[in-house]
Amino acid sequence: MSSTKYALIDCNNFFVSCERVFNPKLQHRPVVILSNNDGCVVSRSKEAKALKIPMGAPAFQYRETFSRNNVAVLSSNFALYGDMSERVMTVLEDFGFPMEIYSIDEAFLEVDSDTIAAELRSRVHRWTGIPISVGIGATKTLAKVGNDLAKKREDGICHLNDPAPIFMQLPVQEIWGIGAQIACALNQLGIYYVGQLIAQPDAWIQKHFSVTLLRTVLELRGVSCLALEELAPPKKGIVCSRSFGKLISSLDDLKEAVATFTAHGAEKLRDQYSVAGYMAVFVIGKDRFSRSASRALVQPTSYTPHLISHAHQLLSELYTKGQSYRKAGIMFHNISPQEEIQLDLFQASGSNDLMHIVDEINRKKRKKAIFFAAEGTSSAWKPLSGHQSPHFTTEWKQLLRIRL
Amino acid sequence: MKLSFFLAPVQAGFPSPADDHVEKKLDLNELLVAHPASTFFVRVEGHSMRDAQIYDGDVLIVDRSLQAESGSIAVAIINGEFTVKRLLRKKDRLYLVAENPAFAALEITPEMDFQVWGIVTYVIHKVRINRL
Repeated sequence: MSSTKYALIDCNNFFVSCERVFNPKLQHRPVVILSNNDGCVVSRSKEAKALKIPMGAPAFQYRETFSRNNVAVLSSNFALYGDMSERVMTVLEDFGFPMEIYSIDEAFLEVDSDTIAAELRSRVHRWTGIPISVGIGATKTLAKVGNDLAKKREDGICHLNDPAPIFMQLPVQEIWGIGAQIACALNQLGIYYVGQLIAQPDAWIQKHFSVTLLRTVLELRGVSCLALEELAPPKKGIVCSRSFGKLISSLDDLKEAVATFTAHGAEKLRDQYSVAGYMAVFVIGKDRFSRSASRALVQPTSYTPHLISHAHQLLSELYTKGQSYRKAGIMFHNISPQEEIQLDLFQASGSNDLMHIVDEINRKKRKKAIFFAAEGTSSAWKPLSGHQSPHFTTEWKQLLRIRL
Repeated sequence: MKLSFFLAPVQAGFPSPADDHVEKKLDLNELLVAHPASTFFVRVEGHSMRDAQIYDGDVLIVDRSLQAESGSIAVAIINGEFTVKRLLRKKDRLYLVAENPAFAALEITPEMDFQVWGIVTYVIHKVRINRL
């Protein structure tokens, strides 16, 4: 019987794998990648996992472990990871199956044959240098379970054809879509393993939990309830924030940082053809107190100059002279499609044509060729990235150099 | 009598005879990059590939999707170091051959950590003025 199956493709230790493509010396050596600002570990090689360095480990607490074990510690290089992700997704897309890009390093494919997994794996690896794991199952949720198992296998592939024996020992919290809270509630009712969960009657699940959990259970039983989302739904809220490279106390520096976040967020709005009706600015101080200010925007907009001026007004409500800050950010809410905006008679709407031209130029140049003066050029607030590898694939001046 | 009806607005002045011939601009990517997802650019330093017209400072276009075969120029990794050499298979032995008599060929043996990273498809070389 030839029936549709779902495959979940996941890049193994994606950020580390990207670095290894251009730096073979990192092969077979423990490698960790630090978050923005070099704060905590966001990607670990197999060897680093074996050293029991946890995900999210604060770098400063593990300095000793790093140096004792000759761990390569790198800052994140999102220009590189973004480009490599696009390459991986393009190779997958070329197979011609319906596809959902689920995250920077994961994609679902609707495949029609079981044997395709090996081909997917070898082509992605050969073309991009990135190793992937492939989990295949009758539903997206089963494909995800399969992928977790595939990661532990030498060949990186798992067909979950008969999951029943595995489910007897698989804790419920390891299932995609079952959060810590639901897992805890299930445990209290004596349900620890997936095998127990899927044996419960539908009515019981719906009564004690929700239709969302019921859908997950059906998926685990092999009934497909979650379709591929080939187009990502527009985001409901947009957040842009960064920790600063050092503590900031001047209002000018804060204004530049907040303007930069706002411009970035506005670009995301325009990318999905939407406008924001509500905006908030927040700051986090040296001793981790946080303050925020927000306002409804009478005229929902994605026009950067208007949004920056809102951001600056909100910031001035928050700013206290003499205080030092470690982080700031902006949030957009009440996001709606651009065409649905009701025009306000008394407000000039900004020129979105102009913004689209700016976006177009910046996209072509693949960096910020045009930006608002308010974003500034000082880098007092820029995050630390002390150990970042070159932008091998996005900057001519930073190409991989090979000694002949 | 038949009247012709023009959909395009007619503007005063003589129309450009080239209007009918406007085509897209040439894009070097079309010529040089067969597989964008697997193509990378690298910059080389050194003189060991001089006779293959690969010079110090050139940019190479490297396609990872191509199969390595004897005679192709490859970006390879030996014991953790990148290099660019011509691959040569001779009686079940594999060699990395420089294109410059000053450099010896290297035989790849099983105990070496060897891997082909990609195949060089084009060389981008800036032509310099040479005043005689």
